[in-house]
Amino acid sequence: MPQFFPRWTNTLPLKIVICLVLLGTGVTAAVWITFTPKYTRVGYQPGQPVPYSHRIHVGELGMDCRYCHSFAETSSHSNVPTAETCMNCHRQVKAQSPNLAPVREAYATGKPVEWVRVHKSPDYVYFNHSVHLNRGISCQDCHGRVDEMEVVHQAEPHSMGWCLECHRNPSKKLRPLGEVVNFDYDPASLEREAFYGDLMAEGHDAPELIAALERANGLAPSGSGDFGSLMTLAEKTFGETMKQEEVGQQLQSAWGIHPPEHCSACHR
Amino acid sequence: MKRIWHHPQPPATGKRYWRSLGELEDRPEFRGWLEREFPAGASEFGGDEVSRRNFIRLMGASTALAGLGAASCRRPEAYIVPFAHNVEWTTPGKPVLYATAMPRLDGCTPLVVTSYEGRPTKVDGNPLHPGQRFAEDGEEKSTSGTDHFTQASVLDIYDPDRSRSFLNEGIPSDPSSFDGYLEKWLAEAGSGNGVGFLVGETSSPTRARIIRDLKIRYPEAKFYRYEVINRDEARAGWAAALGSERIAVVPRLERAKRILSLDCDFLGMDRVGGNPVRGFVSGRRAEKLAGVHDGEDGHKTYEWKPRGEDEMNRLYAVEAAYSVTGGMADHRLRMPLSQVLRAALILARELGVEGVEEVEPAGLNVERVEWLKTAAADLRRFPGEALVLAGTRQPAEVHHLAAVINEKLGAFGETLQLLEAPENESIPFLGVADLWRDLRTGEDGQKGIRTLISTTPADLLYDAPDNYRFREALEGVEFVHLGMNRNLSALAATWHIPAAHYLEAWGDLRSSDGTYSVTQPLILPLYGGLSELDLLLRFLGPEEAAVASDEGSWATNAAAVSTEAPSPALVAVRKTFEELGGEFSEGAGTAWNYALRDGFLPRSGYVPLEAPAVAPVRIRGPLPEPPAGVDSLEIAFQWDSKVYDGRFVNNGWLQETPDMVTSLTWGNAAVMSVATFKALGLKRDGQRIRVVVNGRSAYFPAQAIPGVADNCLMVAVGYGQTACGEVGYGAGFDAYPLRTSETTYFARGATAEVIEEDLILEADDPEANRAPDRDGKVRVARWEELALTQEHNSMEGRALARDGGLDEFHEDPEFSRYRGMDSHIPENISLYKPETKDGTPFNELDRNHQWAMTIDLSACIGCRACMMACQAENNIPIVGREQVLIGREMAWIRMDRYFADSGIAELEEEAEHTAPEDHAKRKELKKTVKSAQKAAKGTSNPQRGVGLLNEDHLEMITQPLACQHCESASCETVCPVNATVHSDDGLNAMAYNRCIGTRYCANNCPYKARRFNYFDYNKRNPLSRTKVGPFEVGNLYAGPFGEKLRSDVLGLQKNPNVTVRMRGVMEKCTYCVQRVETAKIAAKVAARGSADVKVGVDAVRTACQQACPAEAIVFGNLRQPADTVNAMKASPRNYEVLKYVGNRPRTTYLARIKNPNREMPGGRHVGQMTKHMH
Repeated sequence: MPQFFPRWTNTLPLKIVICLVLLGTGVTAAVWITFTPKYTRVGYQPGQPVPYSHRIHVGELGMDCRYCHSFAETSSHSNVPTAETCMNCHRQVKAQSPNLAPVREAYATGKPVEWVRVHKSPDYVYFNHSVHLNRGISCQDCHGRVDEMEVVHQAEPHSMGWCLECHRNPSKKLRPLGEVVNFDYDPASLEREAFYGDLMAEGHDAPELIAALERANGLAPSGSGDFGSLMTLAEKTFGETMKQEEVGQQLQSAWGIHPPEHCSACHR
Repeated sequence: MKRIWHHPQPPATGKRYWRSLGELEDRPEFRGWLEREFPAGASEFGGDEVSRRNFIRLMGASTALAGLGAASCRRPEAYIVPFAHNVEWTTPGKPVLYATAMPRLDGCTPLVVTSYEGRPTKVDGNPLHPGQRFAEDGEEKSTSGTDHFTQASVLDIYDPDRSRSFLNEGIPSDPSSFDGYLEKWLAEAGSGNGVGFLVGETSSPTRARIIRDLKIRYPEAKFYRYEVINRDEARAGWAAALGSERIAVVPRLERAKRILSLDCDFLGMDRVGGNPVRGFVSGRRAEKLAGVHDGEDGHKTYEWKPRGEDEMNRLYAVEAAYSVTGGMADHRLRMPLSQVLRAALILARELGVEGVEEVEPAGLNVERVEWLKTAAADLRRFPGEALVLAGTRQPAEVHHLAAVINEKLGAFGETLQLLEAPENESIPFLGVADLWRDLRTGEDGQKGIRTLISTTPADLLYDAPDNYRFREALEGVEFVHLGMNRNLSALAATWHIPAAHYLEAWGDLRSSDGTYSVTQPLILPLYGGLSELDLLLRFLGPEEAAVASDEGSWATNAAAVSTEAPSPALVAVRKTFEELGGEFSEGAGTAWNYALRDGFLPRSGYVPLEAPAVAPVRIRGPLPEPPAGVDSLEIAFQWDSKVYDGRFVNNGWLQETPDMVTSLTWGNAAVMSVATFKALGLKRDGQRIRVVVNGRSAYFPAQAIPGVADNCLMVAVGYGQTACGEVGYGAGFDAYPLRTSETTYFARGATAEVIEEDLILEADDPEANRAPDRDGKVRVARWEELALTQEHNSMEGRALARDGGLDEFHEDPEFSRYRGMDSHIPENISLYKPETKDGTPFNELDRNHQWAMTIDLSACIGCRACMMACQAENNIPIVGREQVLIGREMAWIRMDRYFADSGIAELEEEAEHTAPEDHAKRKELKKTVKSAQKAAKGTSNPQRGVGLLNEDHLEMITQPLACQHCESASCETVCPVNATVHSDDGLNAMAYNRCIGTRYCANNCPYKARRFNYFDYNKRNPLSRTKVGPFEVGNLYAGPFGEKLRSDVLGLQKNPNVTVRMRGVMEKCTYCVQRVETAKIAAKVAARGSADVKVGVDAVRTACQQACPAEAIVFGNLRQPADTVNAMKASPRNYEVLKYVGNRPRTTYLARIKNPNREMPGGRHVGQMTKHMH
């Protein structure tokens, strides 16, 4: 009986197995790498030319983010302060500190300090700071607890999926506009009456807010329309203290928040 | 049942239209070109490029190299570099706008320039400037329109081939050596004996004052003015007419009902008096808004009413070759340039101007005389509302005649404003002829001029009349030359000084109505250049410098410039400002700041001329005879719509933008009528001819363009330069060697012969009029393909650009909706539901914003400002001549240009109207018609054939076409990776980083609006050639072995809000999505805690819209009822291109309405280009 298989097929099963193992390893490695925070650079914490501490300036001294990042609310770009901005204080405070030598030098010579970039979007992404800050998204939502960082590191993945997660469910992040730079923000600490009072001062009336609340929580429309019944309804639905769910729902409805999910919003 | 739409057959009767002679004659190569998804060769290797096999070899090598680079896949460390000190007005991420002005022949173009972090990236017109404001229907309006030269000028700053250093005898030197030279020179200059200053045309009052100062300081010095295209003839004409050298004229076209142009391309290259386009268009409206009614839920309904024949303007054009003005004209008369004077005389006589003798209409057939007489009768009907414009290149007599005619028509003060410039700004200059005389060695063995200081933008050694041998004459002369480019003069000069760009220096200008503008620098000179004012001030001596330091502190504070000493030019300009400011002197700092902010000094215009009295015309010598035949041609030296007189030769954007009429890129050609083309025995565009005139000869490729006056050659100047940058080198053929001082704009008695064999000339051969190849030889092939874009992406047999006469519009205002296939398409019933899964219609996804555009073909003149604005705004690269030849140009907007002739329709009609008794003639005509129709049967282009072409009765229409942003876009459904998708607000978006380059979308786009990056045009130099091993290939084909862009400087021009695309991705018009998003974000930022996030009325303007001088393009929000776009969409002229395909485009067009005088010869056929299409 002639042999069905030529000789070279003897090693074929082995070759197939080796190939499959290699392929499997490759796929596993690829997935492993791209799905880890390492890939998205969460935790990336480069050293800076000046050992500037956000923890001291923001956490302990209570400086507002916008003192240094002064254009974040008006421009797409959140600027890093000029040496002059640092020297506004450091002419008097710690004027001789050796740590500040590069800043003093930049101020004197005009040759700027080169800060190492921590958060970097790809160049085809056109992120805009001002539109987020002015519509109730806080610094903290993307940059983490900067007030606790001695050296800034990247806290969130900043991947497209992560962006879209919020764009699809903005109510999980929305805050009253006064709270966007507050790192200690806690919805539970909000006064319900003050919160709704502010919304009504912005031009939203009680029936509208009640209707929004009922719509978001699948309640039958009651048609009631005074402030008292709004308070009762809110307390009945969410309990004694305010929750992020309530804040987010109300703000999204009142401010007409519809974050774009189409390509051209971020890619041009 | 599936419905399949076949391309409609073009009609067998009526008008025919075509884009090129290839299409008209239905040549096989044209068919082949047409039937491809991309233009032939666009997806292949061809010509001298790499073969497929070589390509695979190269690819193998580059893949191997790629492995070496794999280690760099981690993100590199990046830095944030803030300013060390806060800079006033600077917000990182936001542009700063500055008002300034660009010099031009007729004054200046007032501008607003966008600057990102100190880099000027985009220029636009200044809508605040009085020259950009006008009254329309009793309303004050303004425009930001400009022209394509203005749009492209920003690229010149970053040209890596710009002159970067001082040259001493052609050897790089440094500024301090020049300072040393200057010091010595000043010590020896004395009273300026033997010193000559050569300057260009400008309206700058400061330069006028410096010249006056120089005249005082050097009483024996001489002052010359020279530019190739100058206003000498116009000035002389007006001086003869009104007895004043200081006349400035501003046509008010919005008031004119009948306009006749005597070779004045006022819509295109010859924009006399500010911005005449917008005024013209405002009188061109075929309809007016009769009422706006508020409807349900905030919607508005707009009611349009056609205007009467006498309410709409009518344009007559007399010209030699088609220009955009001729294209817009209702009636056009083609005449050789030399014969325009004759036409003007006939016109003057017809209008009853006294003292004009009977003119022998030599060379003018009965029909042409009839044409002029009928036009004159029409003009006479509109006293005070008619206007005759004479072209800048016409002799002084024509300008004088135009003045006389305008007076007769009562135009002065009505349609033509006469102004007078201040006496001290009008300085008499000597001309180039005097310069030639003074530079020659006189009888005493001495030259009249021993030092020549030149600041003119012209290149004396390249573009001066050929009988002036300046190269020899300048020997032994100290020649100080200021210029932007290292041209022939720069290389021959004793001292060459790099000039600052107009956006890099302080200066001032007056617009054509005299309004004073300060031009301010947006950036320090990139390569350390000097401005003209700076240089001339230095020749005034160190006293001027002392003035500078005295007032330095003020200037530093006011202008917030760096701590360096202020430019002496700034001090001089401020002095002028104070002289002019008069009443503003109190708090001059404030007035100055206002002038800098607004871009002009209010109420600083020229004073109107009181009671002008026009002197009678006296014609010197006999009238020129018309060109008799092909053995005595007339050659016209045309300014070029790309390089002007040669100064923009190194501007890649301009080089690659197709000419307004010929669609030629990267070069020039001898353009002639189809009849002359045939008479010369030419067969194909691109065949070389040898032209002999004035005893000189030169070679040019020939190109046939219908509608050129017979026996005329139109040759653009400015090409074939040997001393210019990489972009301009090798482009085109030099026409200047044919030009003498007697024949500045046209010459008669030329002959042309077709070259039978390929020629190789030595570089110093007097006939060699193009840049030599690398081996120093000049090659003139018998035939070389012209880099035309007109046949790319053509669409056949369909009523794409629609037009009609005003009478037809009155009969049926909606006629344009039923042209072509649209007359018989059934209702579109589609199985495909344009809605989301939960039933929301796609165009309701964003209830606040749905973007759309209209383009008014009645207003569009085809000037290409939009194309250039798009290039600047959207970071569109240039691809080079080789790539254009294979149809890979990247411009997002393409300007389609169609010609139409009455062809067989006229013959049919003639047969119809021939008396029945004249059997023989009638039979003959019918036979011709029949045989033509028979010949055309079975082809998609029936009745083609140039034999029947009547070049006297032609029409031209232009149509800008970009992505139409279809609601049911056929490109989106075929993309395998969802790289092109619809956005909620109705844009057809491109996600570049998703695109894998299958090109299915371009394949499926019925409008052919998509462009593919075959190479890294932005990263690699598309113009040079590279040696790879044994092969020499175009640099793009060398891949990683190729040369990158030689300079990062070009990157500085890029708009930071638009992605710079890489190889392998598709791109197309985005409706300027960056501007849309910026506006939406601004609305949200302003809304803060409110739900009112709708963008304001007319708040988004696309780059093309902003640049359009005619405001033909309107962009807006369909969900904002007050937006202009909704009014335009409600016009009865509104139609969709290729409606029957069912793509539902968001861009729609408004049909062109002409206002023909049906009594004119050929007038019956005007505006009926698409009437017979169905």
